[in-house]
Amino acid sequence: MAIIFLLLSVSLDSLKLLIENTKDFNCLLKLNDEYRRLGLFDTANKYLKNYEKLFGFEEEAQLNYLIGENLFFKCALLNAREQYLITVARFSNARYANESLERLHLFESARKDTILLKKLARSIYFYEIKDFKHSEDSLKALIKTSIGDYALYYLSLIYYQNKNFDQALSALEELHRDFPANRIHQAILLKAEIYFSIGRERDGIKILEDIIIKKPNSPIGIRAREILKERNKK
Amino acid sequence: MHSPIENMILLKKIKSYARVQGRLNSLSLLIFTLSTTILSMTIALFLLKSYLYGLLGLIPLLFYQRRGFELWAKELDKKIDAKGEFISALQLARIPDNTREGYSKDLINAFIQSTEEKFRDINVKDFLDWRILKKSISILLISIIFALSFLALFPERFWFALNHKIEYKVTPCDGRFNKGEDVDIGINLFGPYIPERVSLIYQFGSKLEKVSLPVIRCRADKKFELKEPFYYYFEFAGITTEKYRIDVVEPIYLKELSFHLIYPEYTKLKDEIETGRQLVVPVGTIVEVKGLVSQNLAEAWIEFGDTINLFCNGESFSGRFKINKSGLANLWMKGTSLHKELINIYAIPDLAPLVEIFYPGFNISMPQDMKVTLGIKFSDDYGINRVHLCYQFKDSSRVNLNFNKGSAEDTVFYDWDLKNLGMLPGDRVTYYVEVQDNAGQRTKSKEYYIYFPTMEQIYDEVKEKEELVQNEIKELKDSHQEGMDEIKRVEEKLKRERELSWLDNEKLKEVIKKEENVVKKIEEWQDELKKTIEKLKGGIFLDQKSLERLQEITKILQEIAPEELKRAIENLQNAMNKKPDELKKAMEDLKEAQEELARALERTLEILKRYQQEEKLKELAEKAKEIAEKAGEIESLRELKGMENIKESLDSLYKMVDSLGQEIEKLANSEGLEQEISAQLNFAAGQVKSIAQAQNMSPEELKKELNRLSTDLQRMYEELTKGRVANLRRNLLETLNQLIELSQLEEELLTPEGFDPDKQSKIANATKEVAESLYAQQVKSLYVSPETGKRLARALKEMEFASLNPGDTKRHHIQEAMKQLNLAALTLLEGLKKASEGSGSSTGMDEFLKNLSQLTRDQMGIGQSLMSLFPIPVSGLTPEQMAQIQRLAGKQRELREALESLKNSPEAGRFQDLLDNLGQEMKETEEALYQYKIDRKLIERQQLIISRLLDAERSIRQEDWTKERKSKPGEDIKRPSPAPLSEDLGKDQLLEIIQRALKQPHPEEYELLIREYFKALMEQEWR
Repeated sequence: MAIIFLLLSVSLDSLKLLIENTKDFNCLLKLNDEYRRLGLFDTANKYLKNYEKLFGFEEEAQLNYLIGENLFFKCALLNAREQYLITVARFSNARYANESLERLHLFESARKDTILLKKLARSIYFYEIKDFKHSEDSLKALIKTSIGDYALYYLSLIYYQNKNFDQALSALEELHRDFPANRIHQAILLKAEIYFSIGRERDGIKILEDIIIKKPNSPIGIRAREILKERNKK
Repeated sequence: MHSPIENMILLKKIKSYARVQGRLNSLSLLIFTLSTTILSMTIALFLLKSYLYGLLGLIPLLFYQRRGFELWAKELDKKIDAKGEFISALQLARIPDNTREGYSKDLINAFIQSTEEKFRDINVKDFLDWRILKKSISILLISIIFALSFLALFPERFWFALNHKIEYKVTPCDGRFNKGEDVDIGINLFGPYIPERVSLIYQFGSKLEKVSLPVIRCRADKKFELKEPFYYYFEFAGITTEKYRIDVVEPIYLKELSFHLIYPEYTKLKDEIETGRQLVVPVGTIVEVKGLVSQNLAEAWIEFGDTINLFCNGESFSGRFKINKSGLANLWMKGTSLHKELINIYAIPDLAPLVEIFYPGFNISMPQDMKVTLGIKFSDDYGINRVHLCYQFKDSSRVNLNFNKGSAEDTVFYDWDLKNLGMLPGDRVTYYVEVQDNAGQRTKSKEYYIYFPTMEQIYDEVKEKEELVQNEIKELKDSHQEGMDEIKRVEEKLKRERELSWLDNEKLKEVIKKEENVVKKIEEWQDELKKTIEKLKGGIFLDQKSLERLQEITKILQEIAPEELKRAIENLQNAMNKKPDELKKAMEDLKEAQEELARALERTLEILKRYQQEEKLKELAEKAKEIAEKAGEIESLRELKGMENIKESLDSLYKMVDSLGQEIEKLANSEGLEQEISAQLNFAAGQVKSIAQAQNMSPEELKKELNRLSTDLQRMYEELTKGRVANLRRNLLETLNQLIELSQLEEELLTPEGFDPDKQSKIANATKEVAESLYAQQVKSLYVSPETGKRLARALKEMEFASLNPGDTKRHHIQEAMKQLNLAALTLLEGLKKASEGSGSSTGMDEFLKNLSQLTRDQMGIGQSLMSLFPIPVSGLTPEQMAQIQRLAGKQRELREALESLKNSPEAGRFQDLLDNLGQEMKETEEALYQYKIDRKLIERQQLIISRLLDAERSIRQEDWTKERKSKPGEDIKRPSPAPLSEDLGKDQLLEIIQRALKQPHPEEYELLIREYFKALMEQEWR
């Protein structure tokens, strides 16, 4: 463990040096990933804030979003929310404003119970650092709670990443069954995606067509139409 | 043979002619003479001469001449054209037989005969001459008309000319006047006829002079400066007055005159000496007058209302009098002549003092600390002696207020602690300030009251405000719609015709005025509600629910924020006289702002309607509970008096139940109410109505039913309010989700693969749908800001630009659309946050506070019941009183237990000490009650408990409101725009202005003018 830390420490030092000399944005992202992996969110944020002003608009927006993410994963929910709000307000036409808004939407959905939200944040953190095992465990503990819909969605994502399509589908079915009023539109698209992945083209298309019929002018309807269009091209 | 002359037919005919024609001529002459007499008489009268001048008219008679027979014969001969035959025959007939002139008798006879034969048949009447008579008659008629015209046109002159009578009076007739004095010699004329001028003849020594004076308004006069004596008399219209004489005497004059003024004590002014002819002094001033004249005085006196005789000593005089009123005094001095000196006296009244309670200056509710600071301003023209605060609560009391004694004006602030009055909810203390000036005059200020409101009244006030706003919004909406329609019409016309007519411009001005009124009205509501909120916050009961309701309405109104409309109106006003393009642009902007305001008004109405539904439901639950309590009371009465004696009460109870049923039904059918709640309410209304119709329940059963109904209604209220919030949250979260997705989709258009117009169009359609669904939420709730809708509209515009501009700017428009979508999402998030906070369930502090409020109210109820026991009879407590005290003790125990249970709640953490102390006090009160120790100590303890409970409640609430309270310190106290002045107040204000004006530096002589001016104003005001 000490050796790993030592190795990591060496790697981090070299990254820091590299950033200092080259002011390379990707290096900064990598450094953030490393610190995040180590759970050193404050340190990560310190670096992100240090170099925040050195890059362009989109990059700055991304760094702000990442600061919010680190706070979120650290379970400093109020600060994280504040940071996401700042990101949206300051970089409202940047891509990461959308990402921040998604998080804010999650915050609003889980507002009633902040403990659960913290647990969900931790699970997402594991998912983000690709520690699927831990993520899966912690998400499973949340299935029967008021934020079970998000837990199931992330579980299905993990299963999908692990190419465990049956389990992914099963998680999505459970999501649909237990949380019929959920607002995770991506879950339906993911289901279609899984069907396509396992060769159940017709089922996948049916899902998308259903969406198009039911919600032709909704964002998800547009998305479904696009996916179908892409598939038709192939 | 010729006939004798007498028998001649010819002769007869001539005679006949001469007789008739002669008479005619005589008649004509008489008529003519009459005419000339009338004319001459009329002229004489006109010239105001004697009517006897009319005799001149008889002159024509003098010219009368009698005519001979031959002349008549000649005239007739001429008229019948006999060419002398007639005359010849007559002459031949008259020739005597013995004086023949060579003519034979026969020849003569033959000639006469032939002539007679020839003219036998003529009728002499045919040859009469009537012309003279006709002319005479014409002249007579003319003279009569002339005479009558005079009468008609100048009747007064006519009648005067007939009798020559005018009454007159000469002034001053004979008289003695001072030398150099102006004497007005005149004559007054009375009568139907007044001459235009009169002659004044006067004689100085032997010199006689005559002047003609015009008569103006029946008087003619002339002024003479007397130097020497003279005689005079008047002449007019033939009348001469008597002769009078004016004598000249040497005048008496004043050499010295002084007034020693001794001012009344209340003025605190020192004595003064005045030498002028004008005295401006306070009422009650004693004047000692002294003077010296040019002659020895026989007597002297002053006429000033009464006659005040002065003491005369040779040439000097003296006297003393008191001034109580203003007026003109005449100082008379009599020596060889009489002299009058005018003295203007102005008695300055001592104005009543003025007093005004300027702070708070209106009726207020009991403040939280039960202390009121009164700001009192008073003034007087000479000085204030006493100031009292007088108040009425149960009994009348007064408090002496300290001030700068004797000062003419002062302002004091009095901190009035109302705790000791023992006021309870529903009580009020009325108060005013009375000031007394040095002269003992008293004035009372306007009376105000401090009211200790009950919770019901607070609710009612809030409800009233809500309803007022709602009703006015409805009216405003209609007026606004008219403005919108007009703008639309004019805009279309401008588009068509490129210019506006004068009429259209006027219409535009009218619309602008109308819209300005709309803006003003909205701002007035906002102010009004803010004031009510501040008042509620300052009041002794901090009713959070009411506060929240009002704040929410204020927020709604703030969102109406007609700033854009205001700007648009200004722009339009500026553009009115500019180019059509600019005007068109300004009108478009105004139209947009109008539409936005119309939407905001619509939304406000909808939200208010929803609020009212919720509040009505709550109110009905409480009403049901109240009726249930009444049923309980009737049941107790039934046990005591039997069923027969409660019939009337029971009937009235059933009526109340029926009315409740109707109200529930009305609410159930109100527009926009959730279907589920509506169904439940309809069911409840049905049940209540059937109870009311059957009227077969005992009071006990009725009580149970109504309590159940109350619980059901309360539950429905909770369901409704919570359900609405939850529903809103759900919908908003869904909208937020969609906005994020739309933003992501828009972002994808920036990818290198290229821009897809079809996708952009679909995104735009989806955005429109989201905007519509958002608007549906917006009209239902305050939490959805119109800002979100505006952002979406901008996003749509950018998307449209992106589709239309395939060039470089496309990217910019896509990014702008993204930005607007994201910002819309952000405002939505804000709304969601507020909605979550509004539900108020996260902290649990609401419940704690609610319980504490209930405890306070119940404790006040005990206090009130306790006070009603006083005075305790000398013989001791009656059994009824003892029973009542036992009940109070029981109630006190219940309250203590409730407090102890409150102590265990987690929110009570910080307030443990306070609650402990309260518990202890309650326990002691309870014990005292059980032991019937009804004394001063018990009452004090009771008040202490209430005071502490209020403190606790307040301190908790203040934590919530601190921020806002800081932002608007004491705004409710300074009422910036007072109501229109009442008549009384106007009078006081005038008095105040007088006093203030008199205190300003001004020349002394102006004081009178200032006072007179204001006095006139005041009199005008009081009339």
